[in-house]
Amino acid sequence: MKKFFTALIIVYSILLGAACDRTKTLTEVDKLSSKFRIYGRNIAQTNNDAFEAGQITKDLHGKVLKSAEFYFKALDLVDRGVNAARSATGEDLSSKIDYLKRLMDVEVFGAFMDIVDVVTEVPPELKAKLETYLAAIRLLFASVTSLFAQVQGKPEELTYG
Amino acid sequence: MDDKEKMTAVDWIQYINLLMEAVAAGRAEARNLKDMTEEQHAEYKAKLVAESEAEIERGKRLQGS
Repeated sequence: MKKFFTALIIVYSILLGAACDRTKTLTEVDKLSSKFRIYGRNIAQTNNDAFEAGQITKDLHGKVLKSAEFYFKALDLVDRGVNAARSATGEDLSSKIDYLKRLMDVEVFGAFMDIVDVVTEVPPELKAKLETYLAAIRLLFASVTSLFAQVQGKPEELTYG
Repeated sequence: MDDKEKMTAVDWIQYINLLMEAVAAGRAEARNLKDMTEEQHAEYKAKLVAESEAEIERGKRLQGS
């Protein structure tokens, strides 16, 4: 009987531990979505300010604005998914977390890369002049996008800086 | 800037630098997320969503003007 209770306590602890991990994962994904929203808000604000100050064309402003809007919609999907997963349990919770990871990986990452593509798509006549500079910019953005890879790994070790 | 006017290499560099500064500022702001409680974070996220939507609406108004 003592062995039975010991086994029961071990199984309970494992289940509780797994549940805590998944709840922690949800919180981390939720905060990661906020982090990406901060970047998006700042980019949208800078894009608006630059256009208002006459620094960029209407066409470029419009393209970045549209990409930013898609990006926020992708983040809205993640936020809705996090809220739905909060009330889920067991297998359902695991599948919802997998879905959230895929959303981050495909939708949010894709939308973010669209913004990068738009702002680095310079006119052909300037390409040669800016080639090295744009390559460096892409590398810098890659440091931001590496966060997406962390979602696929160990969310509990996500960085915020 | 009118679409007929062309952005120079300097214009592009200045614009991209501004965007990079915006991302860097975002990184600094995002560090605060780590220590937020769930309640604080929920409140903060609501503010972020409102600000994001406001920027999109501002952008649309600017496009229309």
